[in-house]
Amino acid sequence: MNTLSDPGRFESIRRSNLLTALRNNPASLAGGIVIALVTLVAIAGPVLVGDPNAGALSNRLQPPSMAHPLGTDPLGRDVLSRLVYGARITLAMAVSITLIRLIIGFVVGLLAGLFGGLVDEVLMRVVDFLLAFPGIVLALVIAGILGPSLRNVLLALVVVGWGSYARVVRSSVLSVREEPFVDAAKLAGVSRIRLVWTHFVPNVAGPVVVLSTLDLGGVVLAAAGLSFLGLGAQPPTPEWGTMVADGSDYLRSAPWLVNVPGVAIAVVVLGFNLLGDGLRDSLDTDPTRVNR
Amino acid sequence: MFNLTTPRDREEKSNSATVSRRTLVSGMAGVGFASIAGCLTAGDSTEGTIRISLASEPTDGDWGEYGGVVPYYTPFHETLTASPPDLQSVEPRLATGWEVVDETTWHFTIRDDVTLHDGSELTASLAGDALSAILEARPIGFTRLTPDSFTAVDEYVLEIETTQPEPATPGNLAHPLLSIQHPDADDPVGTGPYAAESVTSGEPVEAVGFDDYWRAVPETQLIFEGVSDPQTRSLRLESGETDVALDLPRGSYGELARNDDLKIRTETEPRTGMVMVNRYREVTSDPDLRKALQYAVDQRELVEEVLDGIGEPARSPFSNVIPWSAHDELPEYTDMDQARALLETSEYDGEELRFIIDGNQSEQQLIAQEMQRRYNEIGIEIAIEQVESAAFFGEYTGGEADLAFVELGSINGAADYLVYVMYHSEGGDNVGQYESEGTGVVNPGEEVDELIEQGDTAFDEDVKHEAYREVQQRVMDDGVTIPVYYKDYVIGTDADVDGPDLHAIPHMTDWTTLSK
Repeated sequence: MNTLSDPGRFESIRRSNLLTALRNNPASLAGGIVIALVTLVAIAGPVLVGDPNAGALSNRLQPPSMAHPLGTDPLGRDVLSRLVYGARITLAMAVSITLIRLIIGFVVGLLAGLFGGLVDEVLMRVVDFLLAFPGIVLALVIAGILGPSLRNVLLALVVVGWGSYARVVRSSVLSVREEPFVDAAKLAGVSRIRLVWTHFVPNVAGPVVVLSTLDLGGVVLAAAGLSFLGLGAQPPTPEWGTMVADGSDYLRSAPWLVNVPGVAIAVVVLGFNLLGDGLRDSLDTDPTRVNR
Repeated sequence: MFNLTTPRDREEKSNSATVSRRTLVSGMAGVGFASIAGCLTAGDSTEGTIRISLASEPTDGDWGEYGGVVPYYTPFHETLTASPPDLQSVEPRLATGWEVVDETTWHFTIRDDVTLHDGSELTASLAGDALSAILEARPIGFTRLTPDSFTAVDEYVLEIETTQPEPATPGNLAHPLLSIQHPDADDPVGTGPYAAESVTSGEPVEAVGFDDYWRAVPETQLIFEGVSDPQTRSLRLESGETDVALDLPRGSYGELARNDDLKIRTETEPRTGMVMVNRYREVTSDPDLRKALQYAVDQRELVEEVLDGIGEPARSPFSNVIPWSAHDELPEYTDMDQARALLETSEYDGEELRFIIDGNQSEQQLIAQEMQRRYNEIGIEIAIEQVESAAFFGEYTGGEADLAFVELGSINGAADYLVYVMYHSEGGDNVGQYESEGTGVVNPGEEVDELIEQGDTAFDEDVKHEAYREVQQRVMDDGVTIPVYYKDYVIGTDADVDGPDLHAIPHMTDWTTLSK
């Protein structure tokens, strides 16, 4: 056990702070509950609703009713079933994209911050290059070139999104690197890998976790946007952005087709944003404050 | 010498009514804006002026050779010949008649009472120069019109020599792209019933009656505007901000039709939505599988339900309004039991077929999904993939898909070119693969090639029609095409507006039949 840095203690304090912060912040709590509920619905989807692609043309464009609480679409498919299955895709995409962004950004930021010099210069110029482009436009180009599919949307959004993580991690690493406990650990003969794992990773994790939570909402919007444009989920996959696009021809005669997935996207994005705000408050991600 | 070998794909598609999702995004913003603007500018339509909303601004695009205005839909230009609204013949327009001198030589007699908008008189020489200039600037070889020269035999007789026998020449000359525009003019200077007041790129175009028009001078002034989003066009029509709107959203058709303040009409186009089955891909090279795919589709249900009854269930790749369409001779193919039986006898082994659709065609996406559902019922696996419009025909003609949803039609007085382009081994759809491997994408072989050439070069209409009908029978028997619908376009007018008379080709609408 290292007397100057105790990641285990850090984690328990953070968990405690997080729960307290969420309890004291109704908006964040609401955000957390929304995300928890949507996650639960996504996981339990197949039990709750039927096949999202089943339907009959004779049933098309039915308004909300007991049989179809959210109505049916132009092919007679139950909108609720498609919404529930869409939640699985939306959440899976958002979490996957954010996680991969985080991992890449974390590694790049760590390398840049730890090694400095030429490595830092090269990696940060790559980041500068990425951040110089409007993210969604670059994602459009990448997804357009690679062809339409959820996998390519994932790839496109990962490519355009890891730069900000790398920036945050690098600045945190540079800050931590100057701390006395790092020098002390080095003098104590702690190996380089152990030093990174026990001192750097825990101390840069907080800001990155907050950033990723706040990022999740944006990723949901971006993924839905690309699918809306036909670059993401392919028919008949029930993705929310695709559902909005499919319903747009019926905006006036069957408004539920656009409103239902549209509201779902808004609620999930709001949930992630509120939760992210709560996390930021609880973890107080001032990069100059480090855990000792 | 003209370069006339360009495929027609982009040209034909660019003028069909499509809306991309990107357009929709801006359109949705436009709906809101239009609503607010509508409140502020109620009664915007000037008294005696009729505002016509098209799917795109008439000045958008590269139309320099027509004075900066698209010759489709607009009334500034005319052609030597014309296609009547029912497409059953070719009629005189700026030419009073024509004569076949020999298989490659035509004499067109030009009217002697036609004045252009700049006051100059239309002569054979000017008509020849105008057509030469247009063909030099805009290769339109997809129409199969291959003129070698335009020569004024006398003041009003224009001789057209073609590089090969072209019985469809009079019909081809009715294509709006072959409109007469003064070759030296930078503005729209045609012979049409209306003259353009001012032309600014990206702006609506005002049209006023041309006092020296050779027929009755129209009294009503027109304004042509572009409104890309169908929902916005629909809202503008309902709010009275526009008097005529073309290509209204199918999903709102019922609601609009019930509105007593509006008149909503539909007309069948010489345009077919169909699925092309690549007969040279490994899996779909199996004729029994292709026939099974054909029999599993219920065109009636698709048109009635998915298309809200707007359109006609198709039996032929060529719309029933085209004179030589074999629609009446061909059977309805829908038969799920027959599809299952054919699948049983095929060598299909559960492979997933790639079905590409144009990403900007929302109705095709719905139809494809319903087809996918029926194919799944009989055990055929389909993966639908939306492809960007710009890349779609490249993928299709490159033979990269098992099935491709295409919507093709004629905006010409003669639709002959469609047969050649679609099914001849050297037509635009097949030639890429013909030269590299196999005999194309959907070309069924030499016998069909010969039939197409026979129809293409026949001066006798009966021979032509018989050859083309045989082509349709062959391609249907071969299962390379699954016709789905003949397209109807939807036009809405304010109840106070009379006309216009509808034309099967909306691009050729006669706006002089419009009044308020």
